[in-house]
Amino acid sequence: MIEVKNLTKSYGSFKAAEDVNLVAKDGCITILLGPNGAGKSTTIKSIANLLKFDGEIDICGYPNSTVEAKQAFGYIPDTPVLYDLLTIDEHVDFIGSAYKVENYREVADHYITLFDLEEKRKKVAKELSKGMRQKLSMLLALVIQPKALLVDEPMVGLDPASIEETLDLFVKLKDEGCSILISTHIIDIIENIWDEAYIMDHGRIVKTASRSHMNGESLKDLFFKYTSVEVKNDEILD
Amino acid sequence: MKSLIKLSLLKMRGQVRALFSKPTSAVATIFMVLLYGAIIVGNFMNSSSEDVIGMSIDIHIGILVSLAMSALMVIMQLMNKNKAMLMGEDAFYLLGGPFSRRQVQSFVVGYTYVQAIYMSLLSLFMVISLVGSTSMLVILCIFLANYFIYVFFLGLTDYLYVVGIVFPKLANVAKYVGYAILICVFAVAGYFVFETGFDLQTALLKFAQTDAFYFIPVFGWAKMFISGAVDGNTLYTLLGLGLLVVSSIVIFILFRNFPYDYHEKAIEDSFALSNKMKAAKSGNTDAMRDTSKLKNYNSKFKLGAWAISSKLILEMRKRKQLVSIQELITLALFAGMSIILEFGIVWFSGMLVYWVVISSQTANFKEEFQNYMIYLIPDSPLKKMLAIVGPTILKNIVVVALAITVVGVIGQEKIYDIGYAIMMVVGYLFVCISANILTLRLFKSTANRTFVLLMQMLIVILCIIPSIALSVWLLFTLTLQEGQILQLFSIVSIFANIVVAGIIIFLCRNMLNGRELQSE
Repeated sequence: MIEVKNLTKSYGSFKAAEDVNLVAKDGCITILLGPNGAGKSTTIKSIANLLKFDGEIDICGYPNSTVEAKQAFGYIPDTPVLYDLLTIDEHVDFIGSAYKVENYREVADHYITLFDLEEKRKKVAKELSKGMRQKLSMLLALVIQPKALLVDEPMVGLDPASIEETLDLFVKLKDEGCSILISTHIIDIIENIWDEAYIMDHGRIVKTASRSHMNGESLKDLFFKYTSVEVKNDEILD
Repeated sequence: MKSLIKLSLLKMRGQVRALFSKPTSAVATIFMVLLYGAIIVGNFMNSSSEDVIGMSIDIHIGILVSLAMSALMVIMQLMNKNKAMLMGEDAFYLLGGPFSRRQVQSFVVGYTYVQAIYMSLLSLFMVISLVGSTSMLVILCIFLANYFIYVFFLGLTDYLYVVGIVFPKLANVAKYVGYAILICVFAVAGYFVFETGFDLQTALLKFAQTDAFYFIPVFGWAKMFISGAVDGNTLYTLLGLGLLVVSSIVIFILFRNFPYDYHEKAIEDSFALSNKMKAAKSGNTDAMRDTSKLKNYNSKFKLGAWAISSKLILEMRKRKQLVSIQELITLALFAGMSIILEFGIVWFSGMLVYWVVISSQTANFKEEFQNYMIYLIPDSPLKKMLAIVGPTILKNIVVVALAITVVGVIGQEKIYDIGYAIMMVVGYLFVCISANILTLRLFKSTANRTFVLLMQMLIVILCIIPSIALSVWLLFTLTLQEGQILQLFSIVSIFANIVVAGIIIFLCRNMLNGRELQSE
């Protein structure tokens, strides 16, 4: 479980995230929705302990700065950060050894097959396509068998088939009890898989929603109702 | 053509604007201009009192070093696999725009002429810093000679590049030209070594001073031109300059009138090179590397934070940086000079300190310190810090110890002196590594490399202060004989440097928790 209490992140006088409270429960897919600049990535990065912040964040019951918390969660950034000269297998060996995961090879083999990376495993990261790099980034987050998964704009660079596979994978992980927190602004993609949603705008959570309490309203309706994003008629026609 | 010239001017204005867009960048730019300006103006102010002819031996070697530097630059350019005629944006607008082939080629030549000015100024600066003050005439000749070298070779590189596109069988000609120049240099140098009965010291001086060097194409003519001016030999001056000008004109005509179509590949190469250069500029040191022939190694990773060390060693092996050819050449050059010219182990240790300063600056710590994967590894920040700096420290200690031992044994130095020299260089190695980390900690962004380099040097100096202070304090506290004072300074500085470095590394350990560097 991921618990965020009163998270505030300021850059000088600008508050990128203000008094954010959220819970991503075990066995649930929680969505952090918002327009560009709403504070989604700031929140995700604060949870991953990559930013200084005010407030309290626990992952699986441990403060996010502790070794125990780091052991428990996987992070998939919006832009993959990989080592150009390492092959897929070497990346896996590096992360598996650094996290001291005992059976990481078996887990990695499973995901390598799933992501269709079999033929590329001896290729260095520099020679991989954008989509392949994104898949490798996901593979590295999953190889540690995380109890919580933080995902920042996950579908960038993936083709439609890979997007479907990734969504299925998230559902499978959720069914295994993993708590998944996804930050995105593309509502259509996650429409069928979300359980809980937090809508952010101007650094604040402006609406919380649960799939079981939607009363026929769509997530998209809620998004436009509670955010400052305006859609002009001519844009819809386009 | 007017629009192309306007484009060049707009780009130049954009570059100047970018330099002054941030206060740090503006301050660093002004500082560098003042620094170089002060050196050059200082040189001019002294030049009137100096006798140019009287210092001709020094200047001959200075000229040779400057020509060697220019040769290194142009040969590297000739043999470089990452080639493009233009940068990506230029290629897109020029080769795809409403311009004739001749107009585009003229633009490229014009760009080469401007580029040659910057590069020849660098060579000129090198000579001035080597020989001290000299006359305006000599400075002008050195600048012109290097300018024509760059104009000729940059033009030749572009010409051979387009020839290689149109006629793939000739794609390797540039490489053979590079080899041919090297063979010429070695042939002339070998002749002198043989003639002097393998007396390397005399051979070097002869190589620098006699006329045989003039037989090396372009570089020999450049030396003929400068030496002619230094020695007051008008025939040599005019002949050297004439040959340089004619060769540059020939290349200009050949390239400007190249009649074949090469646009598609030129645009493709331009974008590929631009992307690589942008990645390299943002800190990705592997961006320019050709990974198609990368060797695979059997790698085993240690557990926890130490996996970072395993990864770094694996990357070093793949980059062939455990001991690179470049490092071997530099060390061999220093060792050779130390042995042949009998400079001794103290001079060699000094050169190794310089090598360590450069080596620690190029160590790729930034990539590790700014990678989220490293922050997330569930282990203590101090262990991660040691795992990152460990391989570089270990590698440098091994190289330094081996190099000093070899030079010391050949020079029949005492074991104590060899051991002492090793410890001294290792002390500075620790200071340089810790200064590198501290710079990254203090300035976070390393976008302005010149500024960071200056800060690094400043921090290295600050780190050395405690050792000097401690030595002075001990000097006044203890009663020492004259011969022991230098020894005291040396030994105290070695240990103080290691201790200061250790404290800095310990205090900076939290950089590896992810919050310290990325937050602001």
